[in-house]
Amino acid sequence: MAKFIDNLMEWMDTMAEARTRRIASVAGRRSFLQKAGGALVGGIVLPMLPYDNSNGAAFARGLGEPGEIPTDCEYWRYCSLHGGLCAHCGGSITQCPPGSMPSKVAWVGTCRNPNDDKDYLVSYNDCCGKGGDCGEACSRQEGDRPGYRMGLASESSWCVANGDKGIHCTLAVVVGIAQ
Amino acid sequence: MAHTLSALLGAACLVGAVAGPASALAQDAEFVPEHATAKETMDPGPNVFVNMQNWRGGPSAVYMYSANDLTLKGSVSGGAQSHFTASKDGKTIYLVSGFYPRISSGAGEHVLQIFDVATNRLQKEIVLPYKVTQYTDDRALLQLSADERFLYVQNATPATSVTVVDLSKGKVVQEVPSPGCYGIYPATKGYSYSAICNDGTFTTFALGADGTTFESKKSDKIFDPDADPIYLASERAEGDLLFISYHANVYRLSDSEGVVKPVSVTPIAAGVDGNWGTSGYSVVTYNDANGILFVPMAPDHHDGSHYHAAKEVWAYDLKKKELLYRSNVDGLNAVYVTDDALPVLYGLSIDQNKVYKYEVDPGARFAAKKVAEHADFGFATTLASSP
Repeated sequence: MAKFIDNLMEWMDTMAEARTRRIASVAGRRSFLQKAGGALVGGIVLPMLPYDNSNGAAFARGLGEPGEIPTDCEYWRYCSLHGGLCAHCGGSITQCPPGSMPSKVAWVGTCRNPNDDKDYLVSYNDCCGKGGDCGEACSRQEGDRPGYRMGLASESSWCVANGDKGIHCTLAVVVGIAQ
Repeated sequence: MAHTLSALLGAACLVGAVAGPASALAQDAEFVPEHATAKETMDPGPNVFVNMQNWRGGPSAVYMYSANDLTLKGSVSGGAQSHFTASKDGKTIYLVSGFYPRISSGAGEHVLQIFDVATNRLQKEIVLPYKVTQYTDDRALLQLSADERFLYVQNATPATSVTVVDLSKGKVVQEVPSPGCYGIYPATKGYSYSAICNDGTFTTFALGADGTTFESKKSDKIFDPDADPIYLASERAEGDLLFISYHANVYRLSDSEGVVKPVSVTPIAAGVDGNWGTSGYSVVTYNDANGILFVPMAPDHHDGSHYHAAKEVWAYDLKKKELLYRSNVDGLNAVYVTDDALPVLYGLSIDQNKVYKYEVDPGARFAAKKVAEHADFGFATTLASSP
């Protein structure tokens, strides 16, 4: 019975991810499913996206951002952030510090980029596998919803799906345009 | 000068050596050595329980304060990211938390620990499925059935489910899948509970008599999660469930017929200047004796401010639909009121790391006046009092 439930949970995670991705692609602007799709996509697709391997310097292309992305909590891509930025911890805005791994799942915010006045989906992946604090946290939490909309729930640990549960810091990865 | 000092020191040592044995003998006659012991039980009297949730690998702890003056009387401790509840008689604490031997990496387990309040001693442990939600504590995440036979534990992997523990047998009897739904709101009798779902509905899960089976019923849409999201926090009022939204609309719901139905929606901040909104985590508490709702509130409410510290606690008469009083408070994030005719309000401040006691005066429109405070030692969002 327990094995059946485990398989069912795994299937639910997979199906929910696939379904929300599909609906997200056709759902209206700022709708929940769009955001939730992004939330679940964030962790899965993250490794396949044009990924920052240069400490944040290259990722800003197309977003009108400066070469060095600001870490001020009021900066636009942190609109739903709830945690300490990995840029303060030996990583960058999009890179976990050495020795930690991005969470497989994440919550997502929809943030307005003042550079082009567009809304972007920002995936807030926790970096997992290390403990210890490293800098002040930001708690803007715009668009946050309780756990009944888990993909928008910034009050959850997002290392839940990782084998290593330690939460070290949080990324703010732009994963799509909210259209 | 150096010679004089040496002479004085030498004389002092000589006197000490001669007089020493006599002094020691005098002390021997009077001295009674102390012994390290352990206090058997906490001091008697009603308690306030505060769950301090540790997110750094543990330990979390439930602190127990005197309900009279907030003196710290005792505590029980578990692992990381704890959720807690207490029996109705206040004699037993149920604590669910994570134990990670390497703290931040590697394997771990989720465990239910059952503590005797009077002695603070562990009575029993039950290992749970390794999927308990790792979420800021809310009382909706760990609940007892009405007769306290079953304990319901919220899971999130992030797929959501509920583990059912049969406390009479001391074992897990079922895991109920609840995709897209979260929070546990047990019925006032029998073995069913409801959960909030992502489309604004509620689903009610009715368990079989032995807890090993379930049937579910989905409600009509109750609220709009986009426009008027409700908190997880809830309270009973004359048998109904009360929830409140970020925008301070109180949803009164009935679950008495096996499915959740709306009773009323009451906006408590309508017409009040300052753009006030609900503010905190444990944001709904109801005094049964007088029918008064207490809600932590903050001005300049905006997207993202819903967990901020409250500036006031509002006393609201749900029957008359009247805002009775707005009491200034110390940046509270959680409130709990007793059901007494003379209500007592307790509150938690995350910024101040304190628990507060307020006496509430029914003769003064339920104004709250601070009468005691104490450190709460960490990140705490849930509290309860006991007889």
